Amino acid sequence: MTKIQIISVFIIGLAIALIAFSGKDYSSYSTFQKASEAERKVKVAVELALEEEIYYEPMEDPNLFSFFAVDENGDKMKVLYAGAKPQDFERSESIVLTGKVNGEVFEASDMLLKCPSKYTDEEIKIKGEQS
Amino acid sequence: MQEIQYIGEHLLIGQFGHLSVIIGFVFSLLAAYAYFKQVNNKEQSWNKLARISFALHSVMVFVVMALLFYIMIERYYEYNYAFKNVNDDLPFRYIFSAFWADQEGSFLLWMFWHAVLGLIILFQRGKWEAPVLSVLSIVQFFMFSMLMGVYIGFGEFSFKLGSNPFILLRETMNAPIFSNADYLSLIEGNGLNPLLQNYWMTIHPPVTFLGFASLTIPFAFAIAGLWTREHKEFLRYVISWATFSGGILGTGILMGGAWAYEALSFGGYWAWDPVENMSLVPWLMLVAGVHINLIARKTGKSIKSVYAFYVIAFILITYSTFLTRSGILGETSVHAFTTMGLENQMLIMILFFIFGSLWLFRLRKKDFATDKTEDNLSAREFWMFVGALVLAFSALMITLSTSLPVYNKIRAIFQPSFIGSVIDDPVDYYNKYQLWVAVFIGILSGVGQYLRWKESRFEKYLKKFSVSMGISIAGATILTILFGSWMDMHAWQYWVLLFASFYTVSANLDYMIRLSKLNPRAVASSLSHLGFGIMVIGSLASGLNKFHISSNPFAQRGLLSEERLAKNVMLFKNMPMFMSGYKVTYADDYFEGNNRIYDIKFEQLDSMGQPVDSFTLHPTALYNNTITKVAAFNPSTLHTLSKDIFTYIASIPQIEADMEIARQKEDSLEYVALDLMENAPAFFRDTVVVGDSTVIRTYELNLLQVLNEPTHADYVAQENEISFSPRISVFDTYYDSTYIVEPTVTLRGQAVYSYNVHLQDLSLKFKVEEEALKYAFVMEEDLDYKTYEFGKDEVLEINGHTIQFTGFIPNPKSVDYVPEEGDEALWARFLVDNKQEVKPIVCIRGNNFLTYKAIDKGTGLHLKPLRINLSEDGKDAKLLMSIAMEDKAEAMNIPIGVAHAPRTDFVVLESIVFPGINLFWVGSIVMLIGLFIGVWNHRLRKQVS
Repeated sequence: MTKIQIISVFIIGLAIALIAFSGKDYSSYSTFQKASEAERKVKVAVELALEEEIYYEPMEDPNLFSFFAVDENGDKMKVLYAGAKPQDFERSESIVLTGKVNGEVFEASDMLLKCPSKYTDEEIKIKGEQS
Repeated sequence: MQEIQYIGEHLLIGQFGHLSVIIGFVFSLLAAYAYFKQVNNKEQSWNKLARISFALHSVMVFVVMALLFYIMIERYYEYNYAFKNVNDDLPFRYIFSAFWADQEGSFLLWMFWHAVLGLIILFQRGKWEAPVLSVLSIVQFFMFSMLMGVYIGFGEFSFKLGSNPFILLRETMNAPIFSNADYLSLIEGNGLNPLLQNYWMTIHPPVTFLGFASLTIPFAFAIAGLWTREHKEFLRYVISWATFSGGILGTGILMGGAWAYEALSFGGYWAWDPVENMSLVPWLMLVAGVHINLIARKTGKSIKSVYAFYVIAFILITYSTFLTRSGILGETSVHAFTTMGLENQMLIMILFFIFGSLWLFRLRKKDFATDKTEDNLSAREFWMFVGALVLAFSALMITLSTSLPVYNKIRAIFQPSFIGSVIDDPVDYYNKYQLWVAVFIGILSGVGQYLRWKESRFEKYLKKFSVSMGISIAGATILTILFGSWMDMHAWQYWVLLFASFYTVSANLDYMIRLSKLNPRAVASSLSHLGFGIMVIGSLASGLNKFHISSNPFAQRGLLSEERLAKNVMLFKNMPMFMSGYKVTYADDYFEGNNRIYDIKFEQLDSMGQPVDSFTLHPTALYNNTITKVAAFNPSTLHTLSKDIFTYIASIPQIEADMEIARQKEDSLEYVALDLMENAPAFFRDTVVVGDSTVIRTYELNLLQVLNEPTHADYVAQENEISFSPRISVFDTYYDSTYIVEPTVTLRGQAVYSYNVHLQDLSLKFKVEEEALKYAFVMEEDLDYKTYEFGKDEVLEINGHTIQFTGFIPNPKSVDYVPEEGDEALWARFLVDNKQEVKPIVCIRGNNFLTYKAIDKGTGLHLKPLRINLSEDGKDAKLLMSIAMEDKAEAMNIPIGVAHAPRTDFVVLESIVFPGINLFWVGSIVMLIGLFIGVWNHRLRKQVS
């Protein structure tokens, strides 16, 4: 084998090894239950609990947004997020939260909203209806 | 069911379009076959058919595009594509954006560039025309199949081939509206997402898809080279195309970053999002391929790798298309994906090209004898190859990581209980590994320049090499220390990266100026490497040292356990706020179209608090097309040489952002009714929450005046209406300050309009109650009429006012009187108190005698003619009048409503400083310029040789 071939094999091996052994950088979608036990940040796929209060009062604190979310097990938990309330938050179909549980609340460091597509097949806009 | 004859549909154009797709599909296959025959049988006679087929297939691409544009421009909503992507209000300049915002349009754009590039090769009439266009035609054949929209097979085993862009709306869904034959007059299109209505969306996709399409050319050359076994010739011809593709695709990727940074509120230019990753990866492979191509041309070695890299780059582009269009990425990306339902078809295409290429490689294996000579560690080609491998490593890492959702899905097929995993923090994760890629590239691209091709006497060259290395390392060290001390370096790894970047900058500058004396050949590569180094320095500077202006340490309430950086501040209109050395004021806001522009004024203060610099930024809230709801917030950025100040609005009050909520909030306000009279103050008591306690604030309200010409900002005067505004002074007894408000009420026909006033400073809202209209509109039955008789010029004294009848005037006009044919109408002119003219109207219409009364607003006198009494000789007429006077004192009682309404004149602002970000842009552009100079060099060289 030439040096280049050795280097090639080494580099490809390194890439695969790095991916394979960086398990701590990955995690599966968790639940609130599991998040309460976990020490580190986890991702939880949730739905917004629309019947509960969605709180964002910028006059009180522009960096505090809180709401309640339900995970796949049906567990409900209060979520705090240090930022502004995203536009169209109420319409989001599902939310992926990144963060950890502290006592009774889930503290999210990041949120990814999945909003329904603007175009739903069942919806046909009738002229003049939108006034 | 009975067939409905629909009205107003333009079905012919769609049928023609679909036919064009099928013709294009057939001709792309025919072109591939004819070119194949020409190459394989070495029969030039096939060339004519091949060229005609390729040209016709190109024409079909253009025709399909033109027809699709046409139905969008004409707003033929019977077509699903027009219905989904345009609406009546969409300006013409965004039709292009709407065209490629959807799947079929972007496929067409890609095919368009394939056709254009193919035609260029066709017209060059070189010997590569036939094999290259044969491969390109196969690619086009697969792409046309994506647009076919036909079902193949029987019953349950039917397979949908492609998605026809000309499908009708009523074929895509089953809605009751389609039972109406005239449904077209009732519907309107959805329109383009407001986020995509900007010039970036007009220019970014064409460049990116030209990048994608140009990447097919090196692939086609590679297959052609393997096929015809013209390996040397292949190396010579492909390199300019590959370099061109690298430049264009790089430009497209960079534009995507610029779009995200300039126009979207992501707060950055690169987020390691799957869509970004999967356009970067083919570029990395392509650039690696170009480097190995150079090696192969110089040394005759590594030809196999050149083929491999160009083929892999193309396969990665198709894989990237599969990932982003199959919906498999799901929740891992911020980009919204809609599936086209063509996952299987795309998979077949990818597998075809993978296995086809592998098969061809196997066939040609013996062409590439393994080179047994030991690699020369002191030669340029060795380290250049290592550099290409580092790029491939980077591409491999990114591809594998981005494909995690694919892995999850495949594993779940075999093991249904398997729960897939995701990357916790993509930005940290990718940066962690790619940092070392950049370090290696930085060092290799510096050292590599100093080494010589096929070095055989390194001992003799060693002295020169050492001098160069000394110069470049010294330069890099000085720059790293200077720059690094200005920056805030969190970890030692960043120092390494900074040094590696400065190393390639100083080494390439040194090589370009001192050693190669600005030889254009050397300039191309040196500029690219230099640009790369500057780009990395810029991303380090702006990434590590970015900070929020908008962090207000006093506003933290500590509800979150971790100390987090407060990113946002709230700004009241015209109330400056001090933050991080800036005085920031929300000065104004106004609409331009459906864009609401905010003026945010920044004044930079020195340590003494004196302003040293000031500028105004204009972040916007982009409303939907009907201006009822905010669709997105777009940033505004101040660009200076050393830093950018990026600002956007994170939030505005719900009332301002959504008309529906505004209406609900207005309905839920609890107005307290107050009666206002002149010289009789009324009091409003408001309960206010201050901290944890509630206090009562008292306001004294005084009616100053009643204005008949309202001043309310939203009020627009119209004819035939009654409007007025009470002018009210509001005295805040706590802060000892006075405000003036002028709410307005208007009666237009039967409808009453209220123009309420929101006194933001006091969180109070004022409205005039409807009943107040009585003030201007005294009920007829409340008036006490008495009858008087007037002769001409006769003066009577009534209720303390003199009234004189001065005679009749022809051609009367008034709000109430509507003239008809045959009317005999006159004004009866009166003078009240010898100065005020009052003119009721009398009219004879057929047998009827009509009268229209007039009111003198000053005195409150109502003058209503009753009849005209002619004297017996007929010469003298006397006018019988009914006259009454309003009871002013009672009418002055104006009922108003006062409610507590929280302030809505604020924005929540996020403002970030990116130091040194210009280095990133300058570096990237320099790198691309280097690539384009390379294209130029290769073309020139080819012409010479």
